[in-house]
Amino acid sequence: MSCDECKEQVFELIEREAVDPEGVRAILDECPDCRAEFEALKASLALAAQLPLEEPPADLDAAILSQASLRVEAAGSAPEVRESKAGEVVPLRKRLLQAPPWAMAAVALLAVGVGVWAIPREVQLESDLETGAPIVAEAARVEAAEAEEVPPVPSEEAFAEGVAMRDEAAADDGAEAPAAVAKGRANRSGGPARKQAARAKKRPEAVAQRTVKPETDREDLALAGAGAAPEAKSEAKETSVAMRSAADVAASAPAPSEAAFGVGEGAAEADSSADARLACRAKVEAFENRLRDERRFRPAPEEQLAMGRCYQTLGDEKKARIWLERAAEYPKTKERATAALRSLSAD
Amino acid sequence: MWGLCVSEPSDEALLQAYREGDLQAFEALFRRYRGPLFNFLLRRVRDRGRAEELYQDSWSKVIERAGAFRGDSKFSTWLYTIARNACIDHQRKMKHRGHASLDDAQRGANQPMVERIANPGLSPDQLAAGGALRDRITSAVEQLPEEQREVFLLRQLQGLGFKEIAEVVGVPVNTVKSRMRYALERLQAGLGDLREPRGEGAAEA
Repeated sequence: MSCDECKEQVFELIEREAVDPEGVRAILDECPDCRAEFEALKASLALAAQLPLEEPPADLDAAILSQASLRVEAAGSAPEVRESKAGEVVPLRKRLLQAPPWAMAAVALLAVGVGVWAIPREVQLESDLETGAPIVAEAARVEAAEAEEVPPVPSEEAFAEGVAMRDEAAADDGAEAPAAVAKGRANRSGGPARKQAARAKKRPEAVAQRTVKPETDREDLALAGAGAAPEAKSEAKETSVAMRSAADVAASAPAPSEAAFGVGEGAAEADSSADARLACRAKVEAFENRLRDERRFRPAPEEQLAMGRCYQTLGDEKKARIWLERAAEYPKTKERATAALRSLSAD
Repeated sequence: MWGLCVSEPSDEALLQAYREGDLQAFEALFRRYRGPLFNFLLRRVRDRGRAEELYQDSWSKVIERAGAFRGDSKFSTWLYTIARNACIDHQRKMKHRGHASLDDAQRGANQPMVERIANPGLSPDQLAAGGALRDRITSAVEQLPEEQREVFLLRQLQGLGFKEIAEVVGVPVNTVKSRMRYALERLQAGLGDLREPRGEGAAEA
């Protein structure tokens, strides 16, 4: 082996992939130049090995693990399979050549659509967090009020504004409802709850279709609860008994928002009730939907704390621990999350 | 830091277990790769915020596609192919929007590498004491041209074999070896002043 050949293989020797390692070592023992090159390269590699390593954010890890958990739950036993080509992942250059233009355009449109759809949802959840608005409770209260005095709205006014409208209504109500509840006159104030009821009245067919599992769908609860159109209301009544009881408990609690979401000092009492569980289930479902649908969803510390407590209320200790531990890492929520973790351990 | 124990189940076995509903298997797999993957993305895109987004995107895709993983390639190859594709997609998107290139590897390219990253005025001890040594190394790695940098990172952070790296990057094995060699030579030039004198006994590989 010549020196040139040796130098060619010095790198491969370091990387333990040399074709003739013994031959290279023999040259290194005899040739100072080859030895020097070998040493220099090896030292550089040793230095580069000191490249600082950083930790990924803990909240991202929690979100990823929760997403993995949701996939398992959603599929029963196996995670959902979306790709027709068996998860094949090929280098991007090949992939782009294979992708038809129409497919790329469709994906782009879908992405824009999801983005537009996500904005009001995000606003809604944020306002929920800030105010802790018990939408479930409020919806059922509105139902009672509408049954008494809201006059029928002409069906000609019916319109189809789509999901954005419902989100807007929910967001409005979420922000303002606690004040109405505190005054004990939400059903007469003509405020946001009434607006929501009026909107729901205009869409009776939608209400009727959405009574399949109202106890787990926050939007459906609001619509079903507010539905004054006869055909919608009759179905809503059949399916919303539990919902109303949740509303009663939340309304009678000193701090409805805290009871509903397990946030605050009054949470301990509410947590033990079946009604609080119902409210938590709705909250958890909305949260898990975001985890599932919004790839870059990163819950704020307060939301992590609220979710930890909701999972605790629902008896899912593992998920409760994940989120409470994450919330305990933020100064703002550390004390409350630690207390919740202690009670989790005590349970 | 993230070394594997030979007695532990393989990545592919863990993924299979996850496909069958074992969440703990996913967690074990996640623990193995979270650190190296995050650092690969961090050094590749050189922006922490973007690295976090791509990190979450990559794992989301793994979760979504886990049920369809055929096992034709190793899990590590599959994971890093997903991550690398996510990087390229993201870069293309940014470029299209007129953002500054994430991999503007030619920044300061008119200067010699040594001038850009070397700091001969300080000894290794001084640099280490101030944390500057790590900054120098980070800077040297991040200044590598993209194609050399990704090969170096895959090798250094995850310990992938050249064949696996070739599969991830989509080039022949010999090309990968050449890129790795060039990367080391550049690092050698940039960090040469930091090398400590080595004794005779340290020579053997």
